[in-house]
Amino acid sequence: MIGEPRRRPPASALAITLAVINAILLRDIRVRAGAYYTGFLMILLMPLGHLLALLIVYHIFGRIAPVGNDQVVYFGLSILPFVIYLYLSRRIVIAPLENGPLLYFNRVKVFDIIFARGIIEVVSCIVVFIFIIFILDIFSNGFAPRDWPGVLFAFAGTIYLSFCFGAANSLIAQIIPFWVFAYSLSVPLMWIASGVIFFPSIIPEPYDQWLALNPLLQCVEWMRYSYYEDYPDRLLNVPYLISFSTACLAFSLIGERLARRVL
Amino acid sequence: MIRLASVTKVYRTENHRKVVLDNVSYTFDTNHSYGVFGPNGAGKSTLLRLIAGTEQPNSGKVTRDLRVSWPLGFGGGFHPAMTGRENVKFVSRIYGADTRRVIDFVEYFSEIGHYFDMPVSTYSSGMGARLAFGLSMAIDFECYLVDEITAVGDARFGLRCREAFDERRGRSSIIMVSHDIGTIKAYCDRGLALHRGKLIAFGHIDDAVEFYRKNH
Repeated sequence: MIGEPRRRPPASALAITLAVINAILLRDIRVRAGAYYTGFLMILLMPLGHLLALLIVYHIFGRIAPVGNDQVVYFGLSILPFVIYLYLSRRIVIAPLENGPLLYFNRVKVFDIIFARGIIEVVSCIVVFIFIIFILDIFSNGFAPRDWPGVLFAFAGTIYLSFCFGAANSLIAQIIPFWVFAYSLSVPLMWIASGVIFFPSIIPEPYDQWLALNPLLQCVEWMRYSYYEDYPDRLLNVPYLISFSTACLAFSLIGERLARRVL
Repeated sequence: MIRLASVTKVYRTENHRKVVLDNVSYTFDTNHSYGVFGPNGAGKSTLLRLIAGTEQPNSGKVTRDLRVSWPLGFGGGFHPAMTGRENVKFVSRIYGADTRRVIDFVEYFSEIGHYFDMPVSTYSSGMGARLAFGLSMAIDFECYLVDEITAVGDARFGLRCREAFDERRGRSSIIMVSHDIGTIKAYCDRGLALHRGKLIAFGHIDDAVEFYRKNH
């Protein structure tokens, strides 16, 4: 007596989702960049400026690179994953909170907001990556990785971790608003534990294995391992990094579905 | 068709549990327009949000096989730093509408003049409401959800709103929530009463009006 609801074909549903993500993406750029296109440069250059500021501080304090003979390259490659993680994951965590009113339009879903923000931040990360490679090449003795594809995969792996981890924390923050504050407090801890400010291989057992559980440390180690000849890969575990990231993404997707009746 | 199947919606606060819908099942025949009555706090707006899909029930399911609007007249999704034109363009993109046509319609319909290209933060509440109403009318839906639309703008604008409603009533249905019985009777032919978590259906709007008057 009551007919089954007419279902849209999958292609149509995908087209709708892409249109919504596109609309939110353009709105996000407009809101954050302001009325002028130069404002968008600020979005792109903030993480780059952050990275360069840290490099300058390390240079002023005369930190010696434990590997290789170039301080700029060592610390530039080490800080790069952290800056990508910091900006990409944090912006994704707060995206649903900043754009919450958009959910009143029934076509907009939480993951549309997250993916739109993610696209903007990934583009920003790619621009930062290109700029930093040029800067490292100019201000060092030459930028010559042992394994160029490895460097690119390490960069992509960092982006993947940052997006997935940000999405998982975003879900928690929607249920427990205080989580945004707790997540912000975790950033200095991640900085300390990521292996940027120390050489992970000198940490004795079993503490080194505990540190290796930090996925951001895996990103830093992967980047260094891909650049330097004879860099120790004792702590590097790429399958762990990918699995951890994928688990975070699965948690956020499944959790959002289950929690939809609560959110 | 819009179908509620064993829908329950509960709001919990620290000291209170409010049952808005209690295991409600109903099918809206979108060949008709519905007026929903109920006292303040009964859950009429919540019902509209459940139908729109912007909120999920605690249990049960809401299914719809047609384009349903967001609760009409709402302007909370407008970003204050963006102009009226930019906000309209954004919503138009979300719903896959012809952006140029929607902008032209809203600019004509809302009658806010050059403010259309000013940030929404500079608008008066009336201007914001006109912009939101115009946008709601500009996008084509098969079912419009109307939540407590009161008089927006002057008498001439009010007449334009009624004409827009009448024009859409020919091809779309309306589910309307309002305390203004005259407005509901003008646009709806069937009535529902939201009473203590239950949705009571009446075959004719006058029966629903009588029930509402007797009980509230």
